[in-house]
Amino acid sequence: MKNFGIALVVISFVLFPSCNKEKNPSNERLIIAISSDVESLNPLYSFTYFEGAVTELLYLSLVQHNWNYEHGELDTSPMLAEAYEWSNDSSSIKIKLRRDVYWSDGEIVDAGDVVASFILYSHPDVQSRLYGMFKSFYLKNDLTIDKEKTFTVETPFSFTINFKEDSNPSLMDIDIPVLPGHIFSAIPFNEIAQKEKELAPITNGAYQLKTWNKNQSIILTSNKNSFLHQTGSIDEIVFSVVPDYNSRLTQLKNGEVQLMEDIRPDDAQRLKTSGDLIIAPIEGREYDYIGWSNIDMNEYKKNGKKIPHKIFGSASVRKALTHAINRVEILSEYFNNFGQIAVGPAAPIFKDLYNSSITPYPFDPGIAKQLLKSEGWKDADGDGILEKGKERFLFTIYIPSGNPARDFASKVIQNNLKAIGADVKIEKLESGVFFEKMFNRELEAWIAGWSVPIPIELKVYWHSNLTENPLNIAGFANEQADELLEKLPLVKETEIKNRMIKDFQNIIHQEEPVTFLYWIDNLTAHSKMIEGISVSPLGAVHHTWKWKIKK
Amino acid sequence: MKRNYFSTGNFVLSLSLLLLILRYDFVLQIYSLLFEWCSLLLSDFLNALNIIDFAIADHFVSALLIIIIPLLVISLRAKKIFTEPLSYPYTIMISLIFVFLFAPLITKVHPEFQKNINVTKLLPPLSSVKVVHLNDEGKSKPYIRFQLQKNKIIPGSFNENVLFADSTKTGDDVVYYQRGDEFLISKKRVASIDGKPLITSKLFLLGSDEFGRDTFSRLVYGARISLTVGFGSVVVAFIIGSLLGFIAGYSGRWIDTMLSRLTEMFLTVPSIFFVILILALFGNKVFTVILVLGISGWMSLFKIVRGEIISIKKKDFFISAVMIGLKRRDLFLKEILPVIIVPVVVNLIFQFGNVVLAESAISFLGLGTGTEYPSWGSMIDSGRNYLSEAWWLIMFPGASLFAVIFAVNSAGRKISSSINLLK
Amino acid sequence: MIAKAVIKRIFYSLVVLFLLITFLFFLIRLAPGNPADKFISPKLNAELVHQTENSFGINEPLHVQYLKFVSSVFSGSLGISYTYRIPVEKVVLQFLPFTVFFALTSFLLQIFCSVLLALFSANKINKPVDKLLAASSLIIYAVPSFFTGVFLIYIFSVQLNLFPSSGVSSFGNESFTWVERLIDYSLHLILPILTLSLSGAAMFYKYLRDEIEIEYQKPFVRFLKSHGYEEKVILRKHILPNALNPFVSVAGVELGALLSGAVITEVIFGLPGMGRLTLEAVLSRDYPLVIGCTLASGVMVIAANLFADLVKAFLDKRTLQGGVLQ
Repeated sequence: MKNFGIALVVISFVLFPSCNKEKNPSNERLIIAISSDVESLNPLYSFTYFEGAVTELLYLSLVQHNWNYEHGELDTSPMLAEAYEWSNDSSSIKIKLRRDVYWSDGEIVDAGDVVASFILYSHPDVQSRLYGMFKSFYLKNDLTIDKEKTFTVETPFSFTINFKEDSNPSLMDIDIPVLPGHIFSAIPFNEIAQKEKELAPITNGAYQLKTWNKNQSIILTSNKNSFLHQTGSIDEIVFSVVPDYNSRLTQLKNGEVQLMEDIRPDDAQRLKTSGDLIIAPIEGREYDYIGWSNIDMNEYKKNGKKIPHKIFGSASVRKALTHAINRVEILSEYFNNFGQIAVGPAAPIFKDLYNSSITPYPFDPGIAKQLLKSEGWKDADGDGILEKGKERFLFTIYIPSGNPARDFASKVIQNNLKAIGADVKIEKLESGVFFEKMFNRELEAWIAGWSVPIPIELKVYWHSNLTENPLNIAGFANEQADELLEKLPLVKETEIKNRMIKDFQNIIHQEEPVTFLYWIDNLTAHSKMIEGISVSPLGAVHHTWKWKIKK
Repeated sequence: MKRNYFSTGNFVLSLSLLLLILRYDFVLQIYSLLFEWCSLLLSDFLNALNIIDFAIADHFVSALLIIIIPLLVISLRAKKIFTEPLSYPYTIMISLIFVFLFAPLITKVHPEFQKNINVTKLLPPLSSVKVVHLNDEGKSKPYIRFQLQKNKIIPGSFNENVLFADSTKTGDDVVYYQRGDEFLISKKRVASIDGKPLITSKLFLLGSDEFGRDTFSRLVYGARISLTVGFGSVVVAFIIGSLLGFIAGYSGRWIDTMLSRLTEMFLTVPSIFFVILILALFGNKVFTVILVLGISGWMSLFKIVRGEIISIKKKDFFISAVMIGLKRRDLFLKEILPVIIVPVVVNLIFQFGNVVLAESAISFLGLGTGTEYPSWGSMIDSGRNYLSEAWWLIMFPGASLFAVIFAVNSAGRKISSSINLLK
Repeated sequence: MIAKAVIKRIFYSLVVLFLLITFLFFLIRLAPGNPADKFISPKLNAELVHQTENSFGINEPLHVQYLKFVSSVFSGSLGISYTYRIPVEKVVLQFLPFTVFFALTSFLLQIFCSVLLALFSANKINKPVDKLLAASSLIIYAVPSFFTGVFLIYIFSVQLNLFPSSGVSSFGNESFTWVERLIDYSLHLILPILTLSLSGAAMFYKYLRDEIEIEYQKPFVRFLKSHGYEEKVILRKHILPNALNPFVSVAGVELGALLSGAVITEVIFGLPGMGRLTLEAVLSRDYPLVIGCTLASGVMVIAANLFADLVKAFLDKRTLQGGVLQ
């Protein structure tokens, strides 16, 4: 049997010495490896990072973004809109559309499409990902945007959007991929979600969908009629689904794919030495943290009372825990220093609002023990585990499965915490189960991460009103912080805003509601052949129509 | 009769002796700890019970068994089970049980122990590093002697009083190097023997993993998971399969039909999906894994037991036994049990092999027994990420897994073929 | 006679399917995790969350859900997959052809190699060659398939760079000629098929060889030999049919298992088969798809067993009376 297998291998090798592997990227094609298939190519439903990357190529928005490195914020410029103009009191915006953009079925893109898109995104029957988020608009009772009050269409290519009084609208409010209104208006809204696959997507972007083999590949071809098309733009962009990380890496090394994200730091270190690839970190706007239940969650869920958690209720204890954890070791040994220690929820990439005066709590078990002692945690019976009265310093940290970085961190953290006298268990849960329990506030301590949206958003994560802000999972409550977070959306001047956010970071640092671990760089590798690529906090696969392939 | 020196009994004896010689000092220490505990038991009963945890109990039991088992073997050396000639399956099974029982004696390193990752990360087999021992500092002295001794003897997953280094130099201060960086530490901090700083070296027999954990001790403790899951789920499968099979075979009629359809239903669900479904939906603790693997593996046993019972019911000796008026208990013990025991045992042995394999397969898919203990499958899974630079991370658990499954299969085959010959 | 037995058998299979459906329904409702979760943005307030959940029919009473579920399954529609957003039947049909092809190729290879080797050792029972083959088959059988897969990738893809390590075809293979395309497919599938087939082939070989050995030891062989029948004739006419009978049952079970998807091999080599589909459906809590996949593989297993029984009936008419078909 074994011999037969080897014979087969030898025969095929002898007969076909030239494996049909494409060693060099052709001029026409660029292959990007992704770990799992996207669920939807319809911007109404596309949630994830890669879904966003693909739909960006298919559907244009009114505006486009670039990363401003100097200030660490978004630069927004027109896209589908040829020009826009705010009214004096910023309560309405007048938009002039480009006249040279066509849908892939030949129809021209006009104001009707834009209006229809806003209605689609906000209508409850559609169940879009943005439902309930149009807070600056005039809304009906079911949260649909009020068409009559909001839109004034002057000509097919120019219209005005009127915002609600007292709202503080920005360009982000009109940043939605525009959908083909003439297609979707023919479908009952509640059937759109299910009909995606039956409808060939009608798009208006720089690329068109050629084929989508579920769990295999998404192939996009360049839309030569698009105003974004340039000579030399890549003809075909392929998103190839390769679920196994090691296979993905092998294909990258063999030149079968030309771009890949989320490379493990160890491999990045190794790939650096190979000549054909460029390793580019997307600087971190994701951080991992250890969540501590600040309040007793059982009590809170039973009768809505907020009682400090018996261990993690005190800021000193939480600070002590942070002092006890060797974040530097994890960062250097697992992440090969592709990242940096986190001190709060604001990412350092947001240069103007990041409070750089805060220094991280250093790794020092001595300080940790001291702090715990001052809180009454002592090892009275000498068994190596602290007690306070009858309460033992004993807890379980939960981690989700399928995340090697958190696996690694949990091992180090467990031993770090044991060294200061905490009896820590680590329990790994299947990720679906983990996140459900986490969102239901069933875990007392857990390791997870947040990706900070651009522009930064803080209230849902840190405001003490837990019913309105379900992402404040630790149950953090601080009056000053609440006040800042409530005022923030009303402030228009960027500088004041930034100062307030810096103050907020100070409060967070004093309270240490969770142990902030580190900002993690997303490591991408791409072939040296790709020109015009700029890896920014907005991602690697961004404005792909500007890319060219070096010959 | 010619005496066979390569018998199972002698193998057990020599293994125990070898372990005793290698670890006599450690065993003695454990006994002194045990003595301390016994005296604590007399003076402060409740506290003594409170203080004991799994690790301590584990060490005590191992230390006791390492004496008891050889004595037992010597006293029972004439029994058949100890005079069997040593074969490959026996060697592996005995070694495995040995590892299971004496894990704390075989390796003195806690499987989760790691420190100074930059020094100990991904070391190849047989490499060693320097260990600088530090003085106990600023630690509140436990008021119970037992506690003090325990901390010294029983290895933990961390130790704040050691430092790993690539190399060291002793001058006025102790200088140690970690990945090219030089560090200074005052002599006062370093523990000393006869005025010389206490610096030893630690051998990584089978290398270390990405956390700097000792592969050998993880392999040893991993055997425990494989065996626990294997035995546990075989027991579950045995209980469900034989009970249902017995009921179905004995009562016949519609109960039989119903149970047979139920069994068929379980057979149509491919067991690996069933396992993944349940583990993904209900979480993956050792207990769940045992239960699920047991639940997905009882069907063949059901068929065997049911078939045997139905055929026994038709046999003359059984009918006459019923007519004589034998009691149910006697009927079962004297007529049914002897007939079905052999095929059942053979099935359970194969089942054991399947379960060990299945456990490592689901660990490989990332749905294994959680993180508290390593398992061979999860060791292979995590070793996959370091395939090109650390072959030892998947070779050793892979080889162990192979050896066990091979041994189990051979044992099963042997027994079943000897029965076939009897028939 | 045969027709009646087959009909009875199919009826029983339907009962089994019904049990399976019920079992799956309750298992999945019991499970933690809510299919609506993925569609609920964390920023939605509680009322909207409730509305979204209602659109999935989750808050209806259990028996209503069950009745709806059973009736929809028997009317042939398994619902819409949450992740694929198309009817479950269509998703399953996308993945089934590959699995059927992959399973049948591997199965035929296993049968071919094992029967060939077993016949080779049939007249050399307990000679060195046979012993060597038997021992190596036991060894191959004991190597876990995930180990084989990782090992093969390491040797042939990473080190030697002979075969691609993942997927079924290269990109742009639609522009190849059919010969190139065939080569492309085979290059991609050699390692996975090897991984999937090795242990099965070893098992089949050992099984058939042992059956042949047992048959050889039976008195009628000695009787035939003493009457001067040729060894070859004895083997072909008497031993093989007897030895093949239990072999076919085992092969049926294996075929069923292969047809319901080889999850480990598919995961390692990134193949679009039923195994990975089911795994992903389970992990993403795509309940309609989980049910669709499990039903599909259930049908496959039942069909494979039925097929094996028919083959056995063909090989030996007596088994019909013996009631194997029941």
